[in-house]
Amino acid sequence: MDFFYLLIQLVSAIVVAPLFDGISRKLRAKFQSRVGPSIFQTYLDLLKLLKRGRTKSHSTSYIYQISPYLLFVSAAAMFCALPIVYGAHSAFLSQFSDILVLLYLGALFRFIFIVAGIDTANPYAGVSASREGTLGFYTEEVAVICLVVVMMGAGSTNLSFITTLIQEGHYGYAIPSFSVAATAFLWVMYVETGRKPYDLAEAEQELQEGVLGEYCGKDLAIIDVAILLKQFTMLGFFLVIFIPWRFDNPMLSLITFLAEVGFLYVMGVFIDNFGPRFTINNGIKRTMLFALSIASTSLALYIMGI
Amino acid sequence: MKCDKFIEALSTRVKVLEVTRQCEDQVTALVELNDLPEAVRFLYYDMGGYLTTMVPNDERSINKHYALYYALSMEGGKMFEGDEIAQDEKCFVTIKTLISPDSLVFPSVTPLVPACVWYEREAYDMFGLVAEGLPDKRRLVLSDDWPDNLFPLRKDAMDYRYRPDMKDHYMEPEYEFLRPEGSGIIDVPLGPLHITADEPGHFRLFCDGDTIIDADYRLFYQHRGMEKLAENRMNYDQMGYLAERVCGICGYAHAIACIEAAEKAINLEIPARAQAIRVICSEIERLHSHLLNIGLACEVTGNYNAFMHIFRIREYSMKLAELVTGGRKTYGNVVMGGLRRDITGVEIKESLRILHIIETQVDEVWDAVMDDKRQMSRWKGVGILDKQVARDFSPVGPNIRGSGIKRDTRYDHPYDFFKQIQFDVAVVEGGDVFAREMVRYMELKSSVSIIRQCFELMPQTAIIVDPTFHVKPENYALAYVEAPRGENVHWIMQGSAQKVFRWRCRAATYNNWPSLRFQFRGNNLADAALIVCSLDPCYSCTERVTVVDIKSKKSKILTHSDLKNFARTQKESPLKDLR
Repeated sequence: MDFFYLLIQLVSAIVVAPLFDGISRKLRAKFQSRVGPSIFQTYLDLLKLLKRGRTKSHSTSYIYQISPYLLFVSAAAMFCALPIVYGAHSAFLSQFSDILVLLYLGALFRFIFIVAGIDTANPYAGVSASREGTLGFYTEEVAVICLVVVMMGAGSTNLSFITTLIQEGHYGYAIPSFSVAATAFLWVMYVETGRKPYDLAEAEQELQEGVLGEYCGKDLAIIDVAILLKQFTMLGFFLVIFIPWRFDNPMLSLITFLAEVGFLYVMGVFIDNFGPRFTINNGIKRTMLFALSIASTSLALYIMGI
Repeated sequence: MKCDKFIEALSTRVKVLEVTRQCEDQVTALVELNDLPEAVRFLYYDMGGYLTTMVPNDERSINKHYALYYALSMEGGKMFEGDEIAQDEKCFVTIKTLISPDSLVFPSVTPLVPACVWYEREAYDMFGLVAEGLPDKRRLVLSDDWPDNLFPLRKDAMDYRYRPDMKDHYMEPEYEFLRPEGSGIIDVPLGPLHITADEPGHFRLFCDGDTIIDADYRLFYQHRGMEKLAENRMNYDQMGYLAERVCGICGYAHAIACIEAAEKAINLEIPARAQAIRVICSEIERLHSHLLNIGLACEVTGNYNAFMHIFRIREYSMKLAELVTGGRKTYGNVVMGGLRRDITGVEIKESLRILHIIETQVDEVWDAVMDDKRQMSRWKGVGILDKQVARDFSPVGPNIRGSGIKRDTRYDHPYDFFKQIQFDVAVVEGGDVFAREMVRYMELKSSVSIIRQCFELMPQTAIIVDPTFHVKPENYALAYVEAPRGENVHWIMQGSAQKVFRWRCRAATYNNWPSLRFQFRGNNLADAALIVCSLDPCYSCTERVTVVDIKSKKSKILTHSDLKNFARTQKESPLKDLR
């Protein structure tokens, strides 16, 4: 039964994510004094792409062909590691639902993303793949510092255990180090979703045409879904630790979760719509320094015992 | 009279063989071939000139020689306060020299005046005239697989029926880029087709890590051979329309420049109302071009929000163009002797209302952009055009005004109605992208005020003079218009039978490209597209329709009715049997 719910968790996210993307596109259009596409446009885009065939340049290897699937699988695995429809009572599933599992799956996703970019031999994809890697250096340590505070505070790396602990009030916002860590973590998770001003992966207007520059058709559709799923996971990662709203009824908690994530996703428009994007060695370095200092503050607070 | 001072000074330096005057402010001095570099350098640096254009010409049918015309705008060096020639002495001095068809060699001016580099490269491509001492002798305009010994602008070279054979894609020769020495340098090609550029152009960036050390570029993928087309085939009324199609943005400026070159050569004065409407239209063009560029400078950095709002305002300027000329973009309005369409009082009233909307909304959006610290940090300090580099390469338009040099054709050589109009030249120090965009913003404001003044001062006269005129063969003149991107210069030598003997069209961007390399150096790779954009480049301008499908090697000539039917119904693409 747990597996059944897990499947529902994954499928419902895949089905709902494009809707929230469509809503955010519509909202963005309103800000830009345009009419904008219908909120179902992302579904239509994906459907159209799925109908198209794939092309492959001579310089690519098998990595190019399999990476869309690998990306999808790793994003799906990440999403499944979030304890939404199952809790600590499901011993088998919750043993995988671990902070470190999520971190490593995230790293795997990024690794495939980079390798796929370099493999195309497209100079822009190569440049932006290297940037994607650099971006990872900036974000990961902030995320890890925040998570260390939570792990030490809760005494476990198990997500469903932490969730239960926080929901029952044994651990949570009363503790300053936890609430400070929440700020830095949300920041980093936003960066991880790869939206402006941090969106180097698809920075099509700048020189680096993006890691995905060479992908098209079905491959691109699969990658798009994988990226949407990853964005949902990243926002969900924050929600599961810092704002857990889990109910006994798995379906209810799934619906609440999707609504929460979708809300965050759409609200991201207020950040990504305004202003230009950062260049890697000016903006990102400087702004991630803020996030790092917030994370370090929370670590210092934890060491001081508060 | 104007210009005499410069000719006197020149004759103390080199031997001036002959002086001819084209019109009030244009004089040509014939010098000996070997004196050419010194003569141009003397006028450029010592007397304060900027290179306006250079015209190679095949005059074998006239005087058994090829000729070169280096046209310099004498306006002062403008490097510091007061380094400027008095307003009533500014003029154009052309240095002419003759080259014998037996040698086809002339001494290069480029080592002394770097601004000549592109012109002298083009002289080889088009006429086979070799610049001795030119450091960079690669092809510029023609494609790399163009046959040797075929120089298209020579009067006898090209049989119109002759077409060089097509080569397969893999047979095309590689273009040699000037690569800096050193290890660890990565080539990043930006183009020939790139997502940020809507037109083809190949920029090869040489990077060390993220920093661009040097850059080289290959353009002219879309050379349309307009200069050849106009020669001997078109009459002056048709040429205005051809010139308007040089560019999609500043077409009107080209049309005016082209027609005025012809008008100047026969000293034809057009009615004041026509002059005013020409000014109005070219200023409307400036409105929409600058709005386009400021919008794009936001979009290239990822600021789509500002881009969309600026484009919303741009729509009003298109509406304005529609009111004044009847067309949103291509106006087809200029003819020899005046204009084809007048404005009514109702249209003027409505135009003033739209101008007010544009003025207030531009301010609102610009203030919002200025308040955005992230946007400013992307613009400031990027793509700096050094003042001295600008002096050496004679760039034009916002590009040079952003480097603190007060060069504006409307102010230096007032033409048409500009003699009666008050306006400030927008000059900003700094030379970075921000300075150039600031210049554009200030010009938006001054354009609005110029249009208002024109509406006020416009007299009630006819808009066209009696178009019976006779051109005199071998007469030539230069006409210049400050287009949004800088001055467009057209040089026309008249032939017999109301036709053109030689038309040289120099678009603004042509003068801006050569110094781009210096703007790239030391910048971040991510800013490369922004730097190109801030130049407001126009590829097709610089490069002056049989449809050919390379894949199936089939070609088809579309008839007028084919295209018209397709445009009307959008069905049955005339290209479908090609696919």
